[in-house]
Amino acid sequence: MSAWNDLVGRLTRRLAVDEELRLDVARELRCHLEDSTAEFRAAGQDDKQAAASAIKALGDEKELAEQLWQANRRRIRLRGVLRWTARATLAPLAVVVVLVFLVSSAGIVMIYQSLGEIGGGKIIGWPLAGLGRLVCDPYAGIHLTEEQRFLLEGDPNAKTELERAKSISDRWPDNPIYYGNYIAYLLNQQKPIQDKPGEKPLVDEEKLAEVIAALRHGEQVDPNNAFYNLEIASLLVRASTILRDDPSTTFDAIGRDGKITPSTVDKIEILDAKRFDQSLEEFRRGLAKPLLTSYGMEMLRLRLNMLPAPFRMVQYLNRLLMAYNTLLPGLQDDRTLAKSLLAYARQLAARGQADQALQSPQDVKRLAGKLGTQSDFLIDLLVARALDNLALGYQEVLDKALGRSEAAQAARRQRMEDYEFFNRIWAGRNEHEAGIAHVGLLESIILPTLPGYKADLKPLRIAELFVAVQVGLLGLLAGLIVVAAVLGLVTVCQFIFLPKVDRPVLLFVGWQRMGKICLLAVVAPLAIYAAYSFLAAAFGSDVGLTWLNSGRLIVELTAMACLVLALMILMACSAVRQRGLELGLAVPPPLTWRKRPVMLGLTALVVLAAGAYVVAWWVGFRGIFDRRLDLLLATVIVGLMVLWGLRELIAGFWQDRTYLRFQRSLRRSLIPILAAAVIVVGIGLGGLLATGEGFAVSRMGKGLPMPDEIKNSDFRLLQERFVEQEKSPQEQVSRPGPG
Amino acid sequence: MDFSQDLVRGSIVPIVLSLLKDRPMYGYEMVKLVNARSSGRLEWREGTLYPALHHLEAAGLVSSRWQDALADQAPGRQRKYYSITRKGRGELARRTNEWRQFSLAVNAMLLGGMA
Repeated sequence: MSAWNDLVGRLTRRLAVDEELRLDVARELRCHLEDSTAEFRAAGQDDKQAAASAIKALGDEKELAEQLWQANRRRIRLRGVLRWTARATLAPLAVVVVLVFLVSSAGIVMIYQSLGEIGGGKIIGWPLAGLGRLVCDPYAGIHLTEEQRFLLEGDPNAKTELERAKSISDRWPDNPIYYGNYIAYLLNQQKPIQDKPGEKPLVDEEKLAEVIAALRHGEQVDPNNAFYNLEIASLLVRASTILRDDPSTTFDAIGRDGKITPSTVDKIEILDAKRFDQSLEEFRRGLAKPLLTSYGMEMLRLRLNMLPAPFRMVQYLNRLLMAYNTLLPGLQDDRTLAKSLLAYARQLAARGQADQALQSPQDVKRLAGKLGTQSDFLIDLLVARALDNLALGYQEVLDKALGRSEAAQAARRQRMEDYEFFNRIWAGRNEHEAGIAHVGLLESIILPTLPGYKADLKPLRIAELFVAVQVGLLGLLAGLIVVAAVLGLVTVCQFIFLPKVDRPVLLFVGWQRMGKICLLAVVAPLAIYAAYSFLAAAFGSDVGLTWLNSGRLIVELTAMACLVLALMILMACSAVRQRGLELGLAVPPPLTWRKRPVMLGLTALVVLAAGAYVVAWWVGFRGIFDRRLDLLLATVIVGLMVLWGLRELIAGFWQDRTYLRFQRSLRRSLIPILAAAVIVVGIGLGGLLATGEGFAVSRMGKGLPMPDEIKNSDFRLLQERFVEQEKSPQEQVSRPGPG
Repeated sequence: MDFSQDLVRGSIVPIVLSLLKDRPMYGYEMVKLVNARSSGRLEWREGTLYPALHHLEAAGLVSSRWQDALADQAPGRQRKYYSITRKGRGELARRTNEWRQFSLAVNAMLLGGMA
């Protein structure tokens, strides 16, 4: 009735500063007039009279308008403040929540990628890793003194790892650990000699002189350490000789499979006799010293001792990365030096200098013994064993060449015993080798399948799973933010280009409906998924991220994120629709699935495919899947979600003009709902996941696998053998502790 | 007998709270009920009720929600139902007590004085 509408319009005109409230009061008054008119009509009045009576019964128009304004003006002011507060805080806070997730996930992905690169492969090639490098402080939340931070990271202005290591050594110039650490980086990054087997070495003399000077200084800092002399000897040998394979002479080698294969020896061509003699002299000087270390493990232990036990996965991973970055440059590869000495021994034997020739394998064995007894890192121990075995092989070749057949036989026997001993260690039981596919992604990088290795791997795998779900949650939150941003952009355009009367109204759906959306669209599906994950873990062997189930997890998390996103948008739209109806807006009838056959068909297909994939995975057809299929399916699910979102957005623009105001209001009103959902879900669920991750990480303790990998595996037997072989009392010199 | 508008206006709040203490109601229903129960002596101007309800809602004494009308009243229509809040119940108890004391005092002054 237009008379009512005019009256109600006049009564509520002053409330128009809060359009939603005005609509609400107007609808209430209209309902009253409808009831009142119906009663007058029932009392026998015609329509016109009944309407007039209802208006009259309502009271004086001016007085009522004033009373309505007075009754509501405080509320209008309060709602205005709340609306502006929400406008100023909701969206920025939601963005902050997503950024926090982004930074935390970027840090994790960056470290995973770095670890993967150390392992020789690329694990995850996301752009997140690049962001992680820019924004992540691995020591955030840990109190460190300036000195401690300097020891961890070096000079903040340094640009390279080498400069960082040098800055630490420059600050504490007398500390042998810091100098050893610097030299390890120097040798690793400054390569003064480019040499390939059989080719003349290319020597950068200036750089060589610089490196040798630094090594000479090391000798002064740490006079008991053979490391500097052996590195000088190694550089001088490489600069002055060419090593070539000599296929005419071989000795038998036995692989881990027990097969015998011929192993060739080398012959040496000396290009610069003076330099070569210097290298021999340097080698002997080194051999006479009791210590042989680059202090990599000491440097690592020193750094680890400064840090508290990790409570986030990113901190654990950072310690792991720090361990590799500290240890790997310090690896002592003396194989070229040993090979050159042994090949030179063949020359001496050919010249008839038997005693001198036979001294070389003994010297190399002493070098191997020194390295084997003092190594903390498994790779160093394996290098020592390789040198020891090589020396025995050359011993046999030399003895044969010098006509000492019994000695040759003895050397051969000793070498065969070494193969047997070594292969027996490798054949030791490995608790996680059988299920290597089931160990966590990280473990398969950091833990080689060491025989006899004992470790509780479950906490690490659970922590990895928590991290993976947080990355999945980031995807969901980012999806919500993107949808909110698109809607925000559309709304801003409407505010710019539309007259005031056509602009969208911000409808508040109420806390109850908000609660229902969060409960049914987010908490319920995620709780069901958590229960499924728990049961899957309880009844299966796959806990955490593994090479096998990571693809399935990608599909599951993508499907869950899209399901929650779709449910949230559908329920939010439904809530806004209800609010629109309450306020008397022209609301279009809901679109049923029957009216969207294409979307329904596509969704059904993808749901079926995802369901079939997960079921097939669980019943055991895992072999037919590879990571490309996982990623393809995940991409199709996300693609379908984007398609659906675009279709809904575009369809809204083409609807009947009657519903235009509601459609605009719907798009505007969804923004705070989505932003609030991001905040609630991000803080609530993110907090839960972070707590779970922290709990799992705290169960992992402070330790890293590397410092104890020899002690915790059967390779301790190899080190014990080296210790037994080293009987010389002058070798018992203590190394500087981590300080 | 018509009461003065000041008296009627002053009684709206306790009467509305009293009406809502048993069940939620919508505005028109309240008006009709008051007029019926007071046999027309408390003839409310219908429009007066809504500003009062909005005052009460802003003060947190009542809450409102739109819901479908009962099937036997107006099927398919929605009405705005008001419910009393916990704070509203406290206010009703206070007002009832206040009214009791006030009426006793006024009775004592007016009726006692006349006697």
